[in-house]
Amino acid sequence: MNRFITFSALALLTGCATTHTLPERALPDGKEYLKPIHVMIDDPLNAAQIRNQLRETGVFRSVESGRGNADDYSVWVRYNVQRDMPPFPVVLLSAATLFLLPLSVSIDTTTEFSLQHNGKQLKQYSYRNVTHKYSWLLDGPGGMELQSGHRVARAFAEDVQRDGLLPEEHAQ
Amino acid sequence: MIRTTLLAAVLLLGGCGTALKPLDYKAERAYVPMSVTMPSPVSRFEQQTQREVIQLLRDTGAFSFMDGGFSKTGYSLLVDQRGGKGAGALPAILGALTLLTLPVPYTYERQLHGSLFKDGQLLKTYAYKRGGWTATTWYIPMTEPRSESEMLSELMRDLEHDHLIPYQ
Repeated sequence: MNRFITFSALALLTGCATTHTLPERALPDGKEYLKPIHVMIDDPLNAAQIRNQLRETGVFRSVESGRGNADDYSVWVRYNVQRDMPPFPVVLLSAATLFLLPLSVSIDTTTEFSLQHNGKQLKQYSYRNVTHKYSWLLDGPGGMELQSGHRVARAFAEDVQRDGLLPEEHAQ
Repeated sequence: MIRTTLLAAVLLLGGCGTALKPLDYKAERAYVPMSVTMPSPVSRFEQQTQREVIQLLRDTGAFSFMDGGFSKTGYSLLVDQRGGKGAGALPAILGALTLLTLPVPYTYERQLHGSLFKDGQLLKTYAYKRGGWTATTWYIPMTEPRSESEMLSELMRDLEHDHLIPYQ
């Protein structure tokens, strides 16, 4: 009995964790802000969220919407997401057991960032993240996309900071 | 017998579909990158509808790059489908209680407002309205999704006709 409880507890605690294929990046502290970027995102419904995630990295002086002027730095984002749910009978079965049967949910996102200046592409960055999770009654699949978005935004911010193509903006 | 089955199948497949029909419009050239914005969805259903609308607009080939949100530079189009009138509470409840077998007629009205902005300034507004009557049954084809698609096609045609947005 004890063993069974321990096993269930372990399964519940570890099995339900969300896994990502893109490693989490740590952004270095104490650096100067990078110059403002103008971000265009080819997804009207998620555009605001992706811009906010880039803002939250705290790497860029500001993240503006729109194309900006000719000499501004701009980032063009193409975003593709594939959601993978279990077959319908399994979902039905899980619903019939009041979602006590865990469902395997995975979200495959590919995000391409193109850093441009004066109409020329400086560099293209591409990130793929497969987020996977067993979701059940007390732990729904909500927030997976948000977590994935944060991860991708941080990865992009770190890479841009490291490459130095986008100049730093020195405090006046 | 076969005819009845066929008719029933067609009605089941076509009449009850709530998905939007593809637009009766194909663009020959794509506009410059611009933003297409819709009001924040208030329900999961509305979110799904917005996703469908965006996909339909994308499929017309008129947009080379669809961003979201307003910007001080460039063009943006605000697409607002709110303000219509559907079945009231009574037809909806009666329909649900009778498992959509009792035909309760009701009138509906759908609206579509498009506003085109350039550099944050309003250039032109477009307004469309469709109305009609239908009934809360599964065997009478739904006309509401069709009128939505028609209005979207009309908006796209008017945008092309006005030549306000430059091509890529």
